[in-house]
Amino acid sequence: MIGRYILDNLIEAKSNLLRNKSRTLLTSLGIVIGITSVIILVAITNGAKFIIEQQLVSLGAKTIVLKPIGRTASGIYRGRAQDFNQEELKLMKEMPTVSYVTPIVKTSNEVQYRNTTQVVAIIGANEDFAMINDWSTELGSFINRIDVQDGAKVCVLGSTVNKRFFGAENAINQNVRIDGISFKVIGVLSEKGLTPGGRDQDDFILIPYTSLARYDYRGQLYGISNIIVSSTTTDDVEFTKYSIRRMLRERRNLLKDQFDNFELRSYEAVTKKIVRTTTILKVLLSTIASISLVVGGIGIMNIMLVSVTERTKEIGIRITIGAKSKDIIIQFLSEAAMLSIIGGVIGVVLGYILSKVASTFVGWPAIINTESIIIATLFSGIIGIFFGIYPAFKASKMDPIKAIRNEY
Amino acid sequence: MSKDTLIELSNINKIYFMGQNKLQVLFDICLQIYENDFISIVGPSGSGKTTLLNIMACLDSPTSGEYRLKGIDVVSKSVDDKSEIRSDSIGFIFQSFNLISRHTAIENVEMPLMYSSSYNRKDRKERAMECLDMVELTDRANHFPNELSGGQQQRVAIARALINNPDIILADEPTGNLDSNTSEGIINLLKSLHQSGKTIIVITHNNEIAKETMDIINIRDGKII
Repeated sequence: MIGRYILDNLIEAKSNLLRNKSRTLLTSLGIVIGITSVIILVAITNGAKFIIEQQLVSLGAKTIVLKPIGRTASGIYRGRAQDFNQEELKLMKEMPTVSYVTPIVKTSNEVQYRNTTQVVAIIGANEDFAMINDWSTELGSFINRIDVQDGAKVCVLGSTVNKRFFGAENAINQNVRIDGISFKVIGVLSEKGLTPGGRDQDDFILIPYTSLARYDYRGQLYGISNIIVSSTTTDDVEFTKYSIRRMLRERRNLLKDQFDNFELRSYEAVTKKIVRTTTILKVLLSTIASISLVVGGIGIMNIMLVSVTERTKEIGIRITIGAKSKDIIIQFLSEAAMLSIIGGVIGVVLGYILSKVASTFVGWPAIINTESIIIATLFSGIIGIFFGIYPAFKASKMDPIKAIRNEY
Repeated sequence: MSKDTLIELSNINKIYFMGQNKLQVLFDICLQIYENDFISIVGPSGSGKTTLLNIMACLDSPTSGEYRLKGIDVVSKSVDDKSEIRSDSIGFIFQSFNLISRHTAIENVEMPLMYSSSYNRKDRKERAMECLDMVELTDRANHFPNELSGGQQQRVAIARALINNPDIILADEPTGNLDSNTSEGIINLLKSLHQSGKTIIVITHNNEIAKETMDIINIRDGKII
């Protein structure tokens, strides 16, 4: 019943607006511009945010670094820190917000291939290492789960090491001796170049940490000195840190007043700041766009007021033949809402096209989600209704006798 | 013959206040109109006929006095209640037709149904077609008012007044803008409506109409004489 009433009014509004097409379009223009700019601005800032986040992730925004640390209550390092163990590693891997975990064991050893002997940095890790640090192989393959499980004597060379030992020669399936023990080369990593600090990131050999631990020069099994954990998303980093800390304290039976004998580090503070910056940017730009929406809304109000004046006689007739105030209000509100929804829809389409165009200029993707389309359309409807209220009430309060004689 | 009282006006006064000035247009009007009456109201311009008709149509309120429509006191009713009373019981015909020019004949005729009933669009169209049939204008249903002659426009307006099947038809100089030939058609239409049981009150300068009615109310300077 009410649905049909609203539908009748919308059909009526549609035919009224169609009878004056050019005015309808011109009136909607304000809303078109408003919604178009909202869509473009939100799409471009979303794109920028996406790119920034992606870059942060490759810089390690999702990673947490664990180190053993011994500290007394006064803050002075206590001689012995406690290494991590296999069981702790396994528990971390099982956490729902953790996607990758690798132990990191660093040493330096003499490495020999044919006549060349040099001291090279050795990193013992597991198969997750590549995923966490975003490494790919240029030749061959990376160490896998079986290699790690078996403590296989295989290694993957950083590109600097590869150049130094093999030059133009293919290193794959050759054997190098690390600390006198023969390791088969199964892969060569792609080059990453220098860090901003000038350190060569490619100057190391990667082996399964289990192999390293087994063949340590001291002849004893290493504990795991460092762990890198990768959280599923940047938003989960804080929770992951909390879960790991709780798990470690519990397992190590640390009392309430005892300090952690390990350390958790992440880049989250930086991430958060940058995400907040993009959010501020988005709010700022949306505010500017909203101003044009309000201006568009005032345009609609003006035209609706003109329309009410023009149709004074019609309003008088309608009241005379039985229209109640609510009928008149709804009639004019339907028209105002429809005007701005037409503007909204055109704005969404135009915004979609223009943000694709704009993205080629700014050089990052424009991301338009259904959420912003729905919000934009609803918002334009709300603007129409809001700015239609005054003209509609003005119309509904007319005295039918004066209105019919056009005495307003 | 015992007929029910439809309209009962007692001591109706209407005073317009314009700044400091007072203008009284109706003085102590007392009037009873019964079911199926056919009454004409005559009098010179400015005598208060239209004001009286507007009060009867619940479009205007008297300054003092009592108005009962079908036994119900309508003076104290709200604006929206009066709209509902108009939509239920009163059909209004104007001198200048007052069709909405952007709507076709049939859209004009069906319009009161939008405000009163639970008809759906299809039923509304059907009912509007029936009313256009009564005024013999079904072939002009989809014409706009400016495509119709004055007489045709007035017949559309009559069809619109009939659509809610009101008890009372109020007409304010329905032939005022029409030539005498066309007027005759309108007069015949009003007569047949009266025969079908409607109560009709018509303001007119046209003696042809006045002659046809059961009673003539003469108004001069706001008083019935």
